[in-house]
Amino acid sequence: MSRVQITPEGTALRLALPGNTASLRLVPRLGLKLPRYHFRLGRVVHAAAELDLFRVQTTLLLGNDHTGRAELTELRCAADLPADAQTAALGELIAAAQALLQDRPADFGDALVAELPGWRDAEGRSPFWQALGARFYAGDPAEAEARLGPDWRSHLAALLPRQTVYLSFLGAEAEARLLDVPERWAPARAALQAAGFHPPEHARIDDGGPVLAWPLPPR
Amino acid sequence: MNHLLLRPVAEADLADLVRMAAASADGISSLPNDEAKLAARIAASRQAFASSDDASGEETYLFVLEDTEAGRLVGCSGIAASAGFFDRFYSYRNEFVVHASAALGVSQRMHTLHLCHDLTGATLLTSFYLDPAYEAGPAAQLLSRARLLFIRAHANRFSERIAAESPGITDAAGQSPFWDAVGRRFFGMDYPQAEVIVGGRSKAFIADLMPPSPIYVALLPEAAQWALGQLHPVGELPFSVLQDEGFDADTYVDIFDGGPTVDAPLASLRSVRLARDVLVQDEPDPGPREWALVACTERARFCAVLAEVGRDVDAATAARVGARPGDRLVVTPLQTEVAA
Repeated sequence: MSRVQITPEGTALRLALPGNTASLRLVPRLGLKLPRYHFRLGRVVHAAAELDLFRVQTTLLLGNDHTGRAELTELRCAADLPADAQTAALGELIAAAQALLQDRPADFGDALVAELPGWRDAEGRSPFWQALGARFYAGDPAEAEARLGPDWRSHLAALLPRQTVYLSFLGAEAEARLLDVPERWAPARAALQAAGFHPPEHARIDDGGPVLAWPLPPR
Repeated sequence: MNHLLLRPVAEADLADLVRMAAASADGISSLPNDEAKLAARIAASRQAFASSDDASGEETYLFVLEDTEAGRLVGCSGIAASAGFFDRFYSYRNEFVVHASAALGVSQRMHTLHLCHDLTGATLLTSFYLDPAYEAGPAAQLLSRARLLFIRAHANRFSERIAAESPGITDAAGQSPFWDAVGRRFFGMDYPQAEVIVGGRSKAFIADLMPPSPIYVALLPEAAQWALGQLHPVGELPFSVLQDEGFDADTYVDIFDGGPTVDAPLASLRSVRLARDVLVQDEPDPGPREWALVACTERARFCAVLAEVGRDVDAATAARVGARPGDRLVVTPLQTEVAA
């Protein structure tokens, strides 16, 4: 018998452990009102045998691939828990969300998606943002997010490149940090991976954080 | 001015061409610094001038500028009848996309570069080189613009669209900031090295290695953004001649070094618009005279000089281009500021 407490919050559900040591929201059908955007990571090979050239490039393509799927947001854990315990606690909640999805795919969507924040340096700067977003939006992303909430990324997308971007154009640091999470998010990422979420094929559009997905397994 | 003669290249010009190719800046000139290749260019040009067939498109024409007093060649210029004849001809086209978000209060024009084949089949003006000692005078006008009179006279051999590439900016070490930001990512080699490897190959071969999606200029380093559309100093003189002709320099850039590629419809160019056919007269009209390019446009004996002419051309001037009273010549004003 699961000890996960489930509370409705509008159309979403709040899943929490007793004592609120860990919680998350399960939001049905993302991006059906305000479109949601992610960068899809692709691969392109430029080859020329005559020149002995074979170069593999990673590409980013803005899209709405996860539209209509269920989303896990606001993954939270008591910070004083050791990392392993955080992973375990979140794992319980994620398993409960997966069970709900399997019971009611028509209500929630055919996959679970979780968007994690991207890596930042000690001053809170995101190399991915500096290399990409900042070239297309001169404002302060923290201020915009404070003002518009998580929706701000939907507005940001209108300013970002619509066409394929080659990752190598963003420079070595942004390239190296793409799909990395801040240290304190490592337990959440570990919990998602342990629950069967696939390695990320999408990135958050502002800071390059990983977007993990778990498609509903066939019955 | 009276000692300059523009004419098709001849077999005997090889030694002079070798000298000019060596003097022109390495890697940024379209003159190969290689005697065998220059001999092949001369042969190809002689064949093009000699052929009575209409264009197949592969022809390349090479002209030389002779100082008849000094008895030596001081420059050359060329025409390729059809850009990319055997293949596609690649350029980057400047395009602007407005990115706007009401919620974020932003609306801005984003500059993008689109790989395109727009100029495939256009006639290319190529191979401009002028001895620095002649740069101050009108020699560049004769050397560059006489080509347009040749094209006008033999329009069936050329495209109605004329284009010309200009070398982009490089630093003292020959490195191109634009190449470093774009081409290098896909070739993994520096610009001079790429030029050597690529030398002679069709551009299409290289462009297959470049991304087909547009490049967002905002994502390029500042040095590359600044280099976009900038000229190498050696390109300034020929570029200014083309600009005065009315070529558009804002639409295309070279996919490798980001230098401007100009283009225009032939009929819109100043030398062509103001060109007129005149008769050689024993007793020319005594009216006002002005400096002009005077060309004998017959294919087999094409040549051009600078001279003062009025409503018609006197016999002495005509003799300089091998014409006699009764012959027809083509004249276009030298001064570019003359109103159309």
